[in-house]
Order: sequence, then C-alpha cells, then structure tokens
Amino acid sequence: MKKIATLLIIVITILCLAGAFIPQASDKSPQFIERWKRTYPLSYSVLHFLQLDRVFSSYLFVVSIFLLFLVLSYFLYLQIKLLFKSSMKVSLKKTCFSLNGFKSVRLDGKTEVAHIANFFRDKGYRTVAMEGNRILFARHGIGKFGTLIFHAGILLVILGALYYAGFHKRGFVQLIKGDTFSGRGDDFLVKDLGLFRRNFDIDYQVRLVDFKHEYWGTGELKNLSSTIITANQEDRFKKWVIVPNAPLNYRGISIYQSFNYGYTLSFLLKKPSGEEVLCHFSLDISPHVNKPMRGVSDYPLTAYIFDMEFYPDKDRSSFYLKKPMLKLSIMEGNERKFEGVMEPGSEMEFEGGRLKFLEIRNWSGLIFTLSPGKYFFYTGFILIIAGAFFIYFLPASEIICVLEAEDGRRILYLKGLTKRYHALFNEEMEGLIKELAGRFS
Amino acid sequence: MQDLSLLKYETIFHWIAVLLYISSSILFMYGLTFKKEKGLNSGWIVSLSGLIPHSIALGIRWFVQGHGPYMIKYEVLSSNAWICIVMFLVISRKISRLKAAGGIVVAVSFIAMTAGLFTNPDIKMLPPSLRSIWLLIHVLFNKLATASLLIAFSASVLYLLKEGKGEAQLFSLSTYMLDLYNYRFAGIGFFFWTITIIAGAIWANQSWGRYWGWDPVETWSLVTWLLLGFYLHMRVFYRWSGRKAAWAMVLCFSVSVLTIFIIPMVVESLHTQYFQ
Ligand code: HEM
Repeated sequence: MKKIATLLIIVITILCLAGAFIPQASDKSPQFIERWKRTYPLSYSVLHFLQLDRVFSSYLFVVSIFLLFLVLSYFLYLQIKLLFKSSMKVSLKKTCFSLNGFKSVRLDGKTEVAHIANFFRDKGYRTVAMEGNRILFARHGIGKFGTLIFHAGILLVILGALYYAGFHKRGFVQLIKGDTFSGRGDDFLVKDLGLFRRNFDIDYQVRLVDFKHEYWGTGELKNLSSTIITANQEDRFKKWVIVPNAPLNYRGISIYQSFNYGYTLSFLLKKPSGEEVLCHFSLDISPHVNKPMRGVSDYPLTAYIFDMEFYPDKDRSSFYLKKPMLKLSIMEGNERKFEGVMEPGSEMEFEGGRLKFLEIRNWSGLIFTLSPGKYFFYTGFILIIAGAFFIYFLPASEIICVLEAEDGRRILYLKGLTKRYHALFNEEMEGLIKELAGRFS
Repeated sequence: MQDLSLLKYETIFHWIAVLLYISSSILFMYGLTFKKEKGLNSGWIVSLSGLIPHSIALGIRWFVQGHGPYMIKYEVLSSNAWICIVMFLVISRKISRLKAAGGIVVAVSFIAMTAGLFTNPDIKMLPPSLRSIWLLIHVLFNKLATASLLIAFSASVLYLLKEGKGEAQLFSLSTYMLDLYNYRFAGIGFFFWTITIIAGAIWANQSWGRYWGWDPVETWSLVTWLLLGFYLHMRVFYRWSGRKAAWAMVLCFSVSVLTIFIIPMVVESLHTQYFQ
C-alpha cells in the first residue's frame, strides 16, 4: 500500500503540473485554441488525445482521484482495526517481562510507584495502565489518532468533490437594470452542470431593480451591489440586496454578485421594410477609467456587425454615465456602412431605414449555484486541520516504567516510545531521568 | 485613506530595518563560520532591533492604506519577511540552538525586503472580492507556512553544509538535530499550508460560488502541498532522513517560493490581483 500511495501522490502531482504548464481549454478562448491547432498541429493533437489540454476533467485524473479514494478507504479501514490495540498495554501484562533496551536510574529506597506516577503526572503524562510495579504513562494520546483523522478528512473532501462533480449546477446571467430573468435554464448566458444534471431551472424569477458600483479615489473598484426582487410561483415578491462575499440563499439556490458588470447599450433598427429590430449590447466595464469599453457583435436578424467603443464619460474621468459617448462603426461583410459618434437618444438615417440609440442601462452579473457536498467539505476541512494539528503539534509518546527493589534501594527502569522527533524525545527522557535522580535520591 | 505624506517615514524605517538585518546576517554568518556563540547571540539581538523599525514601517503603511500589507509586491515581501523574522526570533528564544538558522532566515528575509524596494510601492486599495475574514486567515497562514518552511529550509541547508565540512566543523548544532528540525518545521509548515488552502477554498466559495477553480496559483499551491505530503510520507514510509531529506526540503521550499512569489507575476491568475 505504501508503494501505491506514493505512486498516486506522484501521479496526481504530475497531472497538476501538466495542468499548470499546458494551456487548458477551460481557461483559453476558442481563438487561442484555434491558433494553437494551426501553429503546432502535432503537439496539439498529441496533448488533446491524451486529454492533457483538459487535465482536470481527463479520465486519467478522475481515475487517479478515484483510486486515491479507494486506497485511502482501505488504509482507514486497516487503521481503525489496529487503533485500539496498544502493543505496550499487552506487553505490560506479560509474566516474563524483558528489560532489554530500558534505561535505569537509582532511587531512594522509600520511593513508591505512586511517587513515580505523581512525578509523571506533573510532567503532563497520564497513567494509562498499572500492573504491580509496572506503569505505562502516555502523553498526547490524541496524537496517535492524528493520521487517521487527517486521512479521513481527505477522504471526505474527495467524496464531497466527487458528489459536487456529479450534481452541481451553476449558471451566469447578465441582468440588465429593469429586466427580469425568467429562471429558465435555457436563459442562462453560461451554464456549468454536473455529470448527472440535465438542466438548471429555478422556480422563481429575478428582476434587477438597481445596481451600484463604487470606486476608491484611486479609480479601483470599491463595491458592487445589486438590488433584486424575486417572484415565485405563489406570487410572493421579496426584495434583496446582493453584495460580493455575501451570497443570497433563497429556495435552495445561492445567488452571488459577480465581478462582471458594465453598461448595456440598446438600439432600435427600423429596416426599409418597416420591420423593427430591438437589440441590447452588454459591454464589460473597462478596468481603467481612461480606457473605453469595447464590443464587437452581430446585429440580430441583419448582416450588420457593430464595432463599439463606449465611454461612460467622454472626459474620461468617471465610470458613471456623465457625458456618455459611443464611437460606432457598422460593417456589412468587408464594407463599412457607418462610422461616427452617437449619443444616447440620438437617431439617424441608416441604409434606407433608421437607427436609434435608445438608452444606456447598467447590467449586473449574477451567478446562481447549487453546490452539493457542503457537509462533506466542511467536516473534511475540520478533520484535516485537526488531524494535521495532532500529528505535528501533539506527537504521542509513551513511557513504560518498572520499579524494582535492589539492596535496600530502588531502581527505576524506563523505556520511551514515540513515532516522531526521536532526538527531542530522547533529550526529554534524559532530562526526566536526571530530574528523577535528583528528586528521589 | 490617511495622509500619504506619512509614507516617507515608512521608507526611512524600512531602510533602517534592511540595514539592521544586513548587519545581523553578517553577525550570524560570522558566528556560524567560526563557531562563535557570541556572533549568533549578537546577530539575534541586532535582528530583534531591526524588527522594531520594520514593524513601525509596516504599521505606518497599514494605518495609511486602511488594510493589511497583503496587496502589492512591496508590502507582501516586507510582511512575509517580518513574519519569518518574528517566528525565527520567538522559536530561537525557546530553542536556543536554532539561532544557527538565523544566518539563512534573516538573510533570505532581507533579500526579500530589498527585492521589494525595486517594486512599485504605490498604495492599492482593496477590491470588494478581497474584503473577507477568510482572506485574512488565508494570507496569515500562508505567511506562517512560509516562515516555517524557511526554518526547515535553513536547517536543511545547514545540514548539507555541515555534512560537507564534517561534524566537528562550523557551528555546534549536530547534523542529527538539524535533520530533526527540518522534519519538525516541514510538518508545521505543512499544517499551516493546509489551513491556507482550506481558508482559500472557503473564501473562493464565498466570493465566486465555487471552492476550487484550478486557477494557476491554486494549482501550484496544491502541487506544493502534495510535494510536502510526499516528502513527509517518504520520511515515514521509507525512513528518508539526512541528506535525502535535506534535498527534498530544499525542493519543497523552492516550489513554495515559486507558488507564492513567482507564479502570480508570470501568469494571469486571480491571485495577480493582490500581487501587482
Ligand atoms: C493514497 C492514499 C494515502 C495513503 C494510503 C496514506 C497512508 C499513510 C500512512 C500509512 C501514513 C503513516 C501513518 C503513521 O505511521 O502514523 C501516512 C502519513 C501521512 N500522510 Fe498519508 N496516505 C495517503 C494520502 C495522503 C495524502 C494525499 C496526503 C497529503 C498530501 C497525506 C499526508 C500524510 C501526512 C502529512 C502524514 C504524516 C507524516 C508524518 O508522520 O510526518 N497522505 N499516510
């Protein structure tokens, strides 16, 4: 089992390193992947075949984690079986008792077993067993359980992770101020579902009634908040404010304030045929106040492509809508149909029809999640921390003492046992022997 | 944010601390090389006196910006150095023979602080994602882990030096004890690193609605933890000790430095937000 455990830890470490060095499809844009395919076709196809471009969902990784889970389970089973068998307690009862490997110290003839027990109690040792002139002391007994508790914690976290991978639901919406999210799974902009989940429908609707974004004097983001109203099937309306790090938990779903937000520009295009097409373009806020928000997108039901450069404040001194300005370029294929500046509310002739820049509203990113496995994770976390603490801060040690009478004096034989930090324990034993000799001579 | 002009005093105190730490390192090196207990003791006292201006410098920054020193490289390097020196001073006060590790702990700390001086010290305010108690726990335990691993690393380097020169040479601390301190502080570092990862996962869940996202720094942090776990297993399973264990610890410490300081600088990560 030692070999298997070592091998599994090495394999998982190497796979993590592969995930750190090889570009992963999950965090790269489709354009990046396309470029990679074109520039290094061989390396791409080999890595893709081995699933190393998506290591953390690859068969190899999942199987390794599953094996780790199995091996840990077996290890824990063995540990629990062994746990309560203390070899020392057994040896204490033996009739023929060997003093091999024991250290000895000469003590005063009046020294009793009770004196020795008191001495060790003062040093933080507990009397575990006493058989005539033999005593077994132990300190930090809990330390013995450290590895068991620690590995049980890892097992629970893996269990939680497997459960999460199978059953989680996660969805992202860009909610425009004044608009309502239907709660239907298909209306999420991005969705991430567990292996055994088919969709993510929510049994209530969410309307964004207000959105605030605040900045420090230095221009860095200070705070975000979304005020929403939820409406469920029983027509109950509730108002909530969601801020970062404080998700709203409502009807089994957690709603998080995402750090993605920005402005939505709405247009109405009246075609020469009289047909009207309304469109909203949601642009991400720019990281710097003096940089524009950019977006390139198709205009639905037309062949036009809108290339936008938007400043909430054309003086470039604010993220708020002070003097908004849009630099717009409209293309149809390779042909530029329009290039110029538009302000909200403005309207113009366009290709025989009319284009109106209707309005600008805030949009806020909201993340909806259903994260199963919470209890596994938190219990696992507590066990891992407690176990590691017991292993390294409370190393268990045991001392067996045998008090013999010899020529009117007493001789105390001692033997210590510990699993960790032998050199320190040996020093401690020597100190104890010296102190015993001083106190009982 | 308070009066920014106070920051000029911060720079002065920071420099005084760097100079005192340099002097302390020289004294430690002298003590180590010539087996002079006096050198180690003086080095210890000088590093303690360096800690005073260093604490004042960090205190000023904290006061001015209104949040702890964990946002930009300059303050991250300085606060990490501070924790390393505090931990070293506290531990070597209790375990006097560990003063020998000062030659490496204080030297690495002042190198980190000096490196910080070449980075932009401008204040960066806290974004909303970083306003969480879990962030504080995450950062604090990561610094404690770094300090513990640095002590384990120092014990390993001293082990390798002493083994090369012979037991009678250099400082009086035996290779046997150095190996033990390597193990002891690797275990403590592993414990702190474990809390760092767990606090980070809880904070990520609070902020982004997921415990783990395979962000590059997250992945590297897991690699460091697994590597430490591997090393600790080797000590128990195959009785690794001495030279092998010392080299393994040097590797673990190097990977931890890569994770904390190098990776956030070279790759785009959630963690680059607070190491710019
Ligand atoms: C394949 C699954 C694993 C098995 C079968 C396993 C088994 C063991 C065993 C038998 C011990 C020695 C217990 C003792 O003698 O007290 C041990 C100790 C330990 N294991 Fe694991 N382990 C596994 C996975 C892990 C993982 C993933 C980690 C974390 C990185 C880990 C961290 C530790 C630590 C920190 C110790 C204590 C080492 C020491 O005494 O200093 N183990 N493990």
